[in-house]
This record gives sequence, C-alpha cells and structure tokens, in this order.
Amino acid sequence: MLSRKQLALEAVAKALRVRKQLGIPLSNSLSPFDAAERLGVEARFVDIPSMEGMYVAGKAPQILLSSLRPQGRRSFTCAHEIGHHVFEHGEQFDELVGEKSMLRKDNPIEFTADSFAAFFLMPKATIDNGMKLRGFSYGSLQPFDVYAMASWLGVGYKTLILHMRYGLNAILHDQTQRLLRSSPQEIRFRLLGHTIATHLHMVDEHWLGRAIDMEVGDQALVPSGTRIEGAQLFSSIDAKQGMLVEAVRPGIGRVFLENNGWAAYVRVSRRGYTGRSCFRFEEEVEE
Amino acid sequence: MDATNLMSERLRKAREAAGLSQGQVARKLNMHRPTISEIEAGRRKVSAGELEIFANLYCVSLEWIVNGTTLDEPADVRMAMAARELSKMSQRDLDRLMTMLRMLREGGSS
Repeated sequence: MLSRKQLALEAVAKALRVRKQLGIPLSNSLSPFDAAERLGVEARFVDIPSMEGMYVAGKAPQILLSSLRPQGRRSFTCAHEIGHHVFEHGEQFDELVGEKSMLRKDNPIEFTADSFAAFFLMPKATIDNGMKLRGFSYGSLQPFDVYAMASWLGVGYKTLILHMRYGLNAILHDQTQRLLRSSPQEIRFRLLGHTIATHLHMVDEHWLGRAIDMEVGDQALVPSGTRIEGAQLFSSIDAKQGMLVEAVRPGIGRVFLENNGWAAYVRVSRRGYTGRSCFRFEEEVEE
Repeated sequence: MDATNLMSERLRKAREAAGLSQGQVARKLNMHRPTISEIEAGRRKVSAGELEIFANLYCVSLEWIVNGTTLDEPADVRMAMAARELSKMSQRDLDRLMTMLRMLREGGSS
C-alpha cells in the first residue's frame, strides 16, 4: 500500500498532467466546471443539502455538485470529483464535509482526490506567479492578499491558507494561525465598510486565465475606471479599494481597462443555480 | 394519469433538472414556447425524434423519459451503495439523489 506521501506525489503529478492536457498554462487559474466539460464529464448542480458531490462513473461520466455549498467549496468539490474520474476510482459519493480539515487523510481514495483537487486548482507555480504579479511575498502575506488570491483561484480563503501551509509548506505555523484568525466576513467588512450577505469577488488587473464567475446578487471589487460591457453587471459605487459592481442578471459580459488592455469575461448565473453546468450562464427569456 | 402524461411529467422534471426554463428550451430548439408548454402538459404528441432531441438537450436517458426506467438499472447498484454509505442522509435527500441517478443518461442509451 502506498504511503500518504506517495499518494500525494501521484496526485500532484496527475493534476499537472491534466492541466497540461487541457492546455492550461501554469500561470493561469482555472474553472474546474469548464475543465470537467472539456474532459468529457458532465457536471450538474443539484439542491441536495446533505451532500458535497458525487462522481457517477460510466461511458457518460457525470459529476453531481451541491448548489447549496459556498462557491469555493463547490469548486474544490468539482476538482475532487475530477480526481476520482482521472484516477478511475469508480462511483464515489462525498458526504458533507466539515470545514475543519481540508484533506480527508484516513481514506486513500479520498485523500488522493483531495490532493489532486488542491494541486489542480492551486499548483505552486500558479500561486507563485499570482503572488509575484501582485507584489506579495509569503513571509508578509496579509488577510487582504490571501482573500484576493483566493478570489482569483476560485477557492475558499481558509482552503488557500491550509494549502499554503500543509500542501506547499510555504508559510509558517504562526503566520497560518494569524491569517486564520481573520474570517472572510471580517475582510469583506473591512474592504467595504459594511456587511454583505453575498459573495465579494476581489478582482484586479492581474486576473488571468479564467472568467470571473458570479451569482446574481454577488458583488465584485474591480479596479477604478473599469469599463463594463453587457447588461449582467450593474456598476454601483466607488469604494475605498476600487469600484464596486453587482451581478444583476444571468449571462456573459466583459470588464476591461482602456489604459492597459486588461480584460476579463464575467459570467453570471442565477443564485443557487441547479441544472447542467453548461447552461448556468444562459440568459433568461421573457415568458 | 396515463402513460403520455407520465412521460410529459418526466420531460418537465428533466428540463428543470437541466436548469432550463420553457422559454430557454424553445429558443435553443427553435420552437415556440407554448409548444413546450403543451408537450409538458401532455396535450401535444411528441415524435421519437423530438424525444431524442429533448433527452440530448437535458442529458438524461431516453429510456427514462419513455418508460421511467433505465436500460441496465445501474440505479439498483447505486441504491445498494446508498444504503451502505449514505446512512447520514435524510430520506428526502436520498430520494432526490436516487431520482436524479435514475434520470441520468447512461453510456448505453446516449
């Protein structure tokens, strides 16, 4: 039986191979939902409260994901189920997981799929590149920095900290504890000066590689002077750290800066969307 | 409820599980929205070709739409697994999961 270290190394190698197979540069973040589709795996969101996800093996493999979990968790679970697919683990059901531990260490299959997910979404080179572009360094990381990186990578704030500590060994124990003391809710409050019930995406001009995926009602903090194309985003107010925009209706739009050529697609889905992943950004039709 | 009505009910469930409104389906298939509505109400007959188009769009088993069952009943295997592994799920969640698994398209019927 392989040791945990061997399982983790296999998972990392596989994660990097799958990224390469899909032509995703290591400098870029990715959408695991889009990756699943490109791997020929149908992803579908379902509103079943007590599950995280499920991999349905077969000639037409499918991934079921709970629409009721936070966005970062959904993303991680989708990558985890892709792990089951590429390792040919067969049918796997994943019950609701607590937030305490990111990796399920006691089960080799689950541990492998978790390790795959962590390195598929957050390879060291991707994090290093994102940090370098933003002028961050591991030794002096602040909660805002981690929040911005987690937004870009599409993972949870705590997930990224634990990955930096235990997956990459890039931050120290004390620093991990200090970063974990800030919650995403507190960070959002400090950024905006008020609380919001929905998700806040922190978007900067180093956002590379994947679209900005939002749900109706989500807000995004984008650089001041950002121009908006499409009716999916409503520009609200100038905030301390940039311009605050809100996702108002499903569909695909674009944000860009005229002065330096930066642009990113914004894809908006219904809040708590259930259905096939490929239809989540469909524009509504007047009935 | 006769067989046609049960089938139209399954067409509605499959559409909803795909995340599409009747209007969105009509737009994708270049049909009128009332046509979709009539089909789902069991008031308009659906050809075999149309059923296949719906099954593909919703990514569900054609066999399930027509008969409410799947060709090789993989759901039975899953239910055995469910009994073993899903003991923490509520009965309601388990039922919803099993309905979804029965609906999903299998390799053999795609």
